Amino acid sequence: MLKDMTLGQYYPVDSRIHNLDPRTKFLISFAYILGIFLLKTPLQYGVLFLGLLAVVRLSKVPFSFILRGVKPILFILVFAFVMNLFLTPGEILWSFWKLKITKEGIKLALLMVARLFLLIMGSSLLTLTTSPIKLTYGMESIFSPLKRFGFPVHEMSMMMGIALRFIPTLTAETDKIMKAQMARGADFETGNIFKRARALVPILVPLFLSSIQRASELADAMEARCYHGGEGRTRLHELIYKKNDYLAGIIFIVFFGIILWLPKII
Amino acid sequence: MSLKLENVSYVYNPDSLYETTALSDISFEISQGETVGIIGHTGSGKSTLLQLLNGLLRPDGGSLVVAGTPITKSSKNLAELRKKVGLVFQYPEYQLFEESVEKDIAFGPKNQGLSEEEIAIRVSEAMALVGLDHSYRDKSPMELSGGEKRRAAIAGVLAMKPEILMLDEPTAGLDPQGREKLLNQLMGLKGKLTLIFISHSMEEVAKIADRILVLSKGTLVLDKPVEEIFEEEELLREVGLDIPVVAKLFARLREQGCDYKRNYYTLEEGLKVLLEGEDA
Repeated sequence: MLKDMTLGQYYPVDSRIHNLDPRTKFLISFAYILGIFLLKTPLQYGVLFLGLLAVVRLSKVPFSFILRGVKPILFILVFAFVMNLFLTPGEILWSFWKLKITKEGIKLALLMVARLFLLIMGSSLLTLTTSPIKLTYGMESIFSPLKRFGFPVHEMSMMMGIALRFIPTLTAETDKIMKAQMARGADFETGNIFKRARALVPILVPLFLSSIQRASELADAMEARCYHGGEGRTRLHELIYKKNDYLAGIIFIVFFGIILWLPKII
Repeated sequence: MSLKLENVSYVYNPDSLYETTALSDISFEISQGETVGIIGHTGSGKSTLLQLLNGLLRPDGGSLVVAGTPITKSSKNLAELRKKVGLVFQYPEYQLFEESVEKDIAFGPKNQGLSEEEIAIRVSEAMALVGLDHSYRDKSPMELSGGEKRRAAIAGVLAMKPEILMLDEPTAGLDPQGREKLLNQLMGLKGKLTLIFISHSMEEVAKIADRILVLSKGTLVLDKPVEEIFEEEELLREVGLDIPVVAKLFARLREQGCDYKRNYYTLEEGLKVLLEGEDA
């Protein structure tokens, strides 16, 4: 039941997208997320979606696998859709009691859903094609100028890397504890919200306990290997931009530029 | 009949890069009161099999009937089944969550909707079965030692009075003493209910089980009474398993021309035969 979580799960295949420098992918994803909020017309969303499909194809990650990552936020999608549908003022098309559907509402609701969908799809593509370790190195390298202002860049990225690394571990653990409690007759699926919240106690307590224990073991293991923070640390694999990285950057900028110009041309 | 499997198969993560067939074409029957050991190399599908028998996983193919309830891909509401089939997971001490041992053991019976008095009786009985005395009742599960935690967790399942008790590597990670104690308690349960347990250790299986199922790469390669299984030394070796030292010793003795009336595989029996000449 927890198998559906793809966000933060690396999909290990060899592809051109996987082999890009993590900084390239990170910067492009960041620009992509910001860029989505600049789009206004359905045509723009459509073209962006096609572009994203091309990237998915290149990454060799099955499309169905990415869609599974969207499933957990299905509720938010539906919620955003319904809210926008009924609460946007404008030209009324259909009304019943206090509910009104407006022309503007339909448009806004559809765009909102498209926006959220593209947002999740794009960002899960980043974590699906980049291993947590690479992602962390990339982040650290991008934010390293902030070190001059005393910002603990290395520590932050290490924390992030560990958090990402442990998502699948904790997911598996939660699944196991849930099954163990189900075997003892625990019921997570029926009852009102309070009953369901209380039903989570037998999962959360063991999960917290083992997480704390795991954290302390990890700290010991790191210390035993002389970890003392980022000061003077060298890397086995240095990050270097290659030809494909520049190419990816240029393609992204040109493609997004075209999308932003579309409404003016047509 | 306690449970029956016919051509059961199970696949993890179907239609994805991680797709793995955990079990294929498994068929066997286990009757009421039998004690069965399941043994196999890591990744042979042992744990998957137990989870199928409890309805926590649903079979992808074949038919599966446990305690009179068929388990299929679409069966719902298996809570009734889980009352009859107790499953103790690997490292069950990680499921303890209540503030006292007593409350934790009572979790299962409470979910079954039993009365307060009945729950109290069940808790006392279960604690006695695993050898935890009254002083443990109000202790926090976190204060217990590894072996005690394990026994408290097993008591939590026993308190539900299952018809079938299944344990996934009950002795994994215990020290020799805790292991010995737990094995003796399992011996005490023999015959009182249908007992199915997984183990890595042939010695353990030889000591407790009447019948042994050997899994390898998701298929059932051997299903024999314990007296006969160690004759298959070669096949067992092929699937990465060994036979108990005592069984090995007697096999060598036989090669040297010693004649024994039957197979011996536990230390106790072996000693009796060798030291006291009791061969019967």
